[in-house]
Amino acid sequence: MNCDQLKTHLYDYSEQNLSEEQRAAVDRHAAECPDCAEVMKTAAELTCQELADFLHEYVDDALPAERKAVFERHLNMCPPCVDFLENYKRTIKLTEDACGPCDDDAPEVPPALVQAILAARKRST
Amino acid sequence: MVPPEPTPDADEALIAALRAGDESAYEALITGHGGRMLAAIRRILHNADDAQDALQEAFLSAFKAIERFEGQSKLSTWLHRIAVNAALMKLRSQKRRKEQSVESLQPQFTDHGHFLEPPAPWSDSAEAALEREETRQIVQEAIAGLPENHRNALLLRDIQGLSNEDVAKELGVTVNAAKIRVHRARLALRGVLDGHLRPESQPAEG
Repeated sequence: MNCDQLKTHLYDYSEQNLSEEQRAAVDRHAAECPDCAEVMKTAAELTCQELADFLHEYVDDALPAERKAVFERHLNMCPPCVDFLENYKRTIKLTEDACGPCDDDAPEVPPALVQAILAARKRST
Repeated sequence: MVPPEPTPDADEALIAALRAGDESAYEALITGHGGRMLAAIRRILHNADDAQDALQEAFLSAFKAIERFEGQSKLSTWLHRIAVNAALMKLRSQKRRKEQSVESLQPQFTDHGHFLEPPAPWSDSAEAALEREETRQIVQEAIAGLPENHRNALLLRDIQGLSNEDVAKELGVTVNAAKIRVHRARLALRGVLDGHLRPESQPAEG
């Protein structure tokens, strides 16, 4: 097994979908290749679900430094999580755009509407 | 043009007058703050009559709730939230949308913690004004579809930009509970938007 093959097997490795033989081949390669050993360690230290569960803390930059480094190592090797993070940030931005306070010139409330609201208040009390 | 935003001192005097039942204070609240509220409502409701109805609803809610206004946020911030909520509720009833369960919109994972449906980058054609307006409407409808406690958490944190601590105070929950509520609301919203913004995906409904 080479490094590229190991990477393509990584998902099935952690999902426990590999045959015993394939699994042993991954382990053998990782035992000899420090780079791949590092990749496997990163894959094992945080799941995508754990990352998603605490994404708000990451986005708020509220994670302790060590934990933040774990998140960043995961993001460096996990394109789906990078996409998820981007989706999440965009969701926040779109929410603000859709309903945020607007700086446009505010209209004047038409006098008839002011009177209608005051009349409605009297009816409702 | 409306008068400049009232100062905090002026607001305090106004709130005291409202609580004392001073008739002229109601009118002062509407003329002083109504313009900005109407502008916020018009971003959600494009029909002038609907927007006016929503403003009236918003003020009737505000008059009732003024007793409970605790002054943790500015009066204008509080009124903006009431106005946006009134507009979103009107939008929801117009679209005959049912409330969506936040639970059903959370991302799903395998037993080993991988995404069941891997996320994909969203299309970024948002520069076109027409698409931007379309996206805005989708987002507004999605927010309107959230249950009240999640919608309010999202309004406070992402629309009004309050800190987690202030969101917690407003909602009367712990900071951690507030953070989780905001996070789950965002995830639910991401789930809805994913159906529209994933490249080549078709909107669920016209």
